[in-house]
Amino acid sequence: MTWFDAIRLAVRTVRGRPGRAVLTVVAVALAAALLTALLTISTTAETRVLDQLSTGGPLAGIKVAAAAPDPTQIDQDNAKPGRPKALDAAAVRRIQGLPNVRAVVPVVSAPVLVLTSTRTKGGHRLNPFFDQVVGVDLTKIAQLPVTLVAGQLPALDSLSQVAVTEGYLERLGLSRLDAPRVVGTTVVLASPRLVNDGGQTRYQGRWVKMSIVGVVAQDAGDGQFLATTAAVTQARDWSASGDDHGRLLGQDSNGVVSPYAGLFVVARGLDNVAKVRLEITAVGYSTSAPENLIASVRRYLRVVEIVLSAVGLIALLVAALGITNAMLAAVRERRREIGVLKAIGARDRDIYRTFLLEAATLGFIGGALGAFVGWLIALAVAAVVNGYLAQQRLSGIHVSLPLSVIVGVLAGSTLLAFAAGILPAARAARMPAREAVSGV
Amino acid sequence: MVLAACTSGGPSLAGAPTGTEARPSTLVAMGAIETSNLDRRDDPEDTWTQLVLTHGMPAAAVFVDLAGQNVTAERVIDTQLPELAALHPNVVTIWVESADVRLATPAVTYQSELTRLVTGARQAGARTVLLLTPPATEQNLSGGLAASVAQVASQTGATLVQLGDTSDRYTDAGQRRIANSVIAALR
Repeated sequence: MTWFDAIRLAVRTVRGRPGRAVLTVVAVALAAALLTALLTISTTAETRVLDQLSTGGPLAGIKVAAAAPDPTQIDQDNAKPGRPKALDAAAVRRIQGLPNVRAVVPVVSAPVLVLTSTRTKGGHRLNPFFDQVVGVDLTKIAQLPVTLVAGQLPALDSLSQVAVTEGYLERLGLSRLDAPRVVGTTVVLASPRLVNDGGQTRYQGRWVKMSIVGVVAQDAGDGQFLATTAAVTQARDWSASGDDHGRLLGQDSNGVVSPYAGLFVVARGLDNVAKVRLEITAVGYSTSAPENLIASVRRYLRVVEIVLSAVGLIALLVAALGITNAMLAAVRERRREIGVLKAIGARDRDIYRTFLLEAATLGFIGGALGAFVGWLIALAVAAVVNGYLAQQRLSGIHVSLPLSVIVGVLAGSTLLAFAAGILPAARAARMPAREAVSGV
Repeated sequence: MVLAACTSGGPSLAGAPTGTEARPSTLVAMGAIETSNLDRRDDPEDTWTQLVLTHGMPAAAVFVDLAGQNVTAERVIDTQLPELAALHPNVVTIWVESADVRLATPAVTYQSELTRLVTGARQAGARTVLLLTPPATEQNLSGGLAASVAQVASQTGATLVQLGDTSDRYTDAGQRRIANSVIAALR
């Protein structure tokens, strides 16, 4: 008997006993569905957790400060920077030229006095306060740790639009759920410059009335306001035009005002983050990146994934026992058929092969059905989760079924069924022809 | 686990920045202490310049304060006018009298200097130049500068903003009154 004959016989047998076949397939499908759903949900959760850790930016992102590195802090996630050190265009070019660096996004910032007419939650007027406005190239926003909470980001060339952080909401006594309330309001940001006025030093202000167009969670720089590089550069230029030559903007030990407040460097992959950080340290700047935190969280998530996989595999094992049981019953029922096959020349190994293939067929069909149903279950769970997130005014999740999960579930259920068929197949193969034909 | 992972937000591309916008209108204030309200810096929100920026200017607007302490019109020409071109002003306010009154600057000299300021502001791109002046009754030290301001306004086409009683300009009500006069002139 050829393999092809054995497959045809196995398929015909499955079709000839639809009731038992359907029940066996359903058992395998349920187990496979459970495994698929758990693995899909686990993968989605991992993606979301890591996104959160990187504040929406790339996982391989590194913050570079306009400061020298502190040798004792180099491998810390949130390294304490050393003494101020100007970060200029030449330094940016050197860092851009490092191997394993995919992108470099400069960050500028400027000190501002903030005046807002928006009342606090308690109805009080907020006193003017000092803060920083952070400017980035908004065409590169996808490479930055900036997450939109409400509204939108400033227009690409805007000089009068700003996004605020949740810190601004907190000042107003508002929560993230209230974020849409501040969108559309205005805020006045005043850049100061120091002038010598008749022998007295005083501030002169450049006041910009800006529209708040969005609320963000941002970790690109220290400040509660995010604007375009052009808008922040104008503010810096004003402060730098003072009689103190921009001392307000901060100077390094050589008296140089840093053109950039920092850089956001994206390494080529998470594995290169430590290497790139060391290289930037060698260039002479302090860095920070959540690499240790991400590695720890990934380890914990891996443990969760293993536990969930184990739950699914146990279900598959139970289903495999069901296959063994069904196949043993089939062997008893089909004694005459086995006897006839042997009488007309089928060898033991032909019988063995037929029963094994029959078990594997049940496993494969159950696995395919289970992967599909598991995907539907994951989608249903995602719909419930997204409903909850929408209520909380948070962005939703996107569930994707990795190819590795589909292949793994299909191969796993087929192989387990194959293994479950070994005992019944061996029993059928060893059955003497005369005993089989007589049905004793 | 999914819920736990998702309750603190996530990335969204919905707000990717797009579009362009016009350059904000720029108001530059030149002059002396009465312009910059140096004596009211503890409460900048209620100064007349802030009120004009907030209520009298378009949604996107910049206000630059160039005013200096105890400056005469001549000093404004030397120290403030050179900066004006780089600021691309749409509106310039000029209020400089007290130091000239105190130093008894001759009216002819004052008029000539004020004319230079207005011309300079126009050359810097300002379409609207406002000349602010308190009532003549408050200028009894020299007695002629309010008339000089009015004359320069009429000769140069600048807008004369006759302020009401400014003796209470240190109060919120006084600042509001000045702001209302300027806003009315801008309209």
